[in-house]
Amino acid sequence: MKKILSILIGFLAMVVLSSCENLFIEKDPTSNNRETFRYLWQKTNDQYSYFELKNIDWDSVYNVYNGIITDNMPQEEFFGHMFDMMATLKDGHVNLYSPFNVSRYPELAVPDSNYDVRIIRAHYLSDYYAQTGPLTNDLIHTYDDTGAKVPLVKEVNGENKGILYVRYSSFSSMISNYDIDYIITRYRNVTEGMIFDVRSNGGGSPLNIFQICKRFIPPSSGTITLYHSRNKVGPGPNDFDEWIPAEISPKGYHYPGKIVILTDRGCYSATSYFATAIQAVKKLHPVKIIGVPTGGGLGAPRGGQLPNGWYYRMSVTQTRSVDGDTGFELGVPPDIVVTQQPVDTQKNKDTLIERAIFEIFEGTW
Amino acid sequence: MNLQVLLKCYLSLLLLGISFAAFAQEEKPPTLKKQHYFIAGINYSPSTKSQDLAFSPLTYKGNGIGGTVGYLLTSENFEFLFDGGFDFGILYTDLSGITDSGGNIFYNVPAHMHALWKINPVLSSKKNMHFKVGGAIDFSGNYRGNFSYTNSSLNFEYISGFGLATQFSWDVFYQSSGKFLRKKDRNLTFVWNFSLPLMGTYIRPSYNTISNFTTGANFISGEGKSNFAFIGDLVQVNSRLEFYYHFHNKNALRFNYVWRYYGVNEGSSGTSKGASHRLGIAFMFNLTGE
Repeated sequence: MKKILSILIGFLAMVVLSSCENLFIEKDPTSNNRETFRYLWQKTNDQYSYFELKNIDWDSVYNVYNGIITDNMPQEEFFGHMFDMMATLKDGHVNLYSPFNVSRYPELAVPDSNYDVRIIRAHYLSDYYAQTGPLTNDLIHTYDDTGAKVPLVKEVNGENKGILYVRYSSFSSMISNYDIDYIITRYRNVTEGMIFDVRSNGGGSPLNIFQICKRFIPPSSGTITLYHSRNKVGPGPNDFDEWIPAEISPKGYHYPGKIVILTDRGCYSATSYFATAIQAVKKLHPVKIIGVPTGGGLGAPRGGQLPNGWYYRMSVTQTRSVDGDTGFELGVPPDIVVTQQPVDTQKNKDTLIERAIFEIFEGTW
Repeated sequence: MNLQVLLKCYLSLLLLGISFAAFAQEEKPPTLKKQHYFIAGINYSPSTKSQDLAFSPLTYKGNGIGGTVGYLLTSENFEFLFDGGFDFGILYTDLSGITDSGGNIFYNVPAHMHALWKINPVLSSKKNMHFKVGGAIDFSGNYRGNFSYTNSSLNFEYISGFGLATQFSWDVFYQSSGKFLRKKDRNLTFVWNFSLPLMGTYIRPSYNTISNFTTGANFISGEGKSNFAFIGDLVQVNSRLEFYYHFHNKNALRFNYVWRYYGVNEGSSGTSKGASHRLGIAFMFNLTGE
């Protein structure tokens, strides 16, 4: 019996002391440059969602960098080559994060902005503009004969009506029901239209898109689709799941007036989703987008880690407008193309706001 | 002290206790009466590993602490155990602090349940030794948060499995000798449980590791879907080495060591594997009454 016990105890000891999981969990890959390059290329090949739209030959990219990357290359130099490799995707949602640097899509790092906060606050808003949550709001102002700033009004159907200006600088700042309903109830009866300024808004949470659009569509709209999204579900170039609708129903207080959205190339990610959603809102309510195409960013990014410990992110979804357009990844086009004119800048005028004022008071809707 | 050394010391002492008990025990007729216990205790995991290839090719390692609660119904011929708990801590890669600036916060919720029956005539010549077999259900919810993964910061697997379980146990009785540590009679139980689910379900993040949050879906769901798998694509192994010290008021103290391994070969863009070594101490409240 003691012999059996000895065998049993020996077996137990073997089981509990031998870190059995090492038999099943693979060892870490080597963290050298070539291994890391191959991993990043492969992960991008399997997961990136916009090769076809952007007409990118990723295999040829491999051939280029396969001939360049060596294991004895300094880390900064290796990072520089990976920076260039990922920049071929022309996507602001693609980044490489090392302890000493972050790669980016160079064009969007310095977008052509049409927005000058100084001009707007000094010449179009009163000194007492309101900050309701993340939304800066006030009536559009002008100067009277004495040089004093007064609300810009125009008689419409026998009533003096002004224009509401709302500035939303980042979709990362959450808009509460109270924030947006307060602004709408405060101004909806005294304004002919609203200028909703999202220029240089780099994105954030899509939940704010729904929060805004629920107030832009008429209360009788029922459930509507703002846009569709689909996910990469396999390594093949066309391995996507079904298009999934982003749906909303009216909520809170409706803004009944005309709406002008101001965009520029600095509008990215959630802001481009917002501009895409406006394509659906337009079918139910008078809305125009004025400015230049947004920066795009309609592929939601995922993150991950490389064998050498660095991190990456890249777009892994596609977005389609309600009209079936998948090309908005390259930028959502405005209804009226307007860029800031240097001559207006010299006169402290915002070309886009001037055009928006004209459209609200004089334009065809 | 090196954690691996600490772990091995703990286990060595546990095994030394078993050896000592096995060879130096004095036999006592087994009790037939059912005993009910409520179990509550604390855990320390000196070694936890995770390798989720959907997110990183690197293995994350670390340690954590936690708690456990359970219920035990035991008799000579039958045992039912439910043992659940939680562990949390931080995991790092070997490159952490060098080229890796992140880390995984982990939170595990394991639960084990088994029903075992004594098999005769195995070990029948030793009335204080029991060999039982039966079925077990193992569940594990493993959550890891790494904010360096941006939108993919939550990686997880929910695993449940049903399969076979087995148990060897020794009831040991030391009569009082009046000497140090033996001033009173002592009752001890040593148990080794092993369970291996043969089939089960799992939920992993989607292939692209993010949810459809741009369409309003829950951000933290990872768009995971429940799948069914047999052993091979879904592996769970639980080995539990336990030592009960029975007080004279019928309550008991439990020291245990649990080794757990899991592997999920499907469900996302890479396999997920992990293991933990957990040491625990728990009080067993006897609910049997008179």
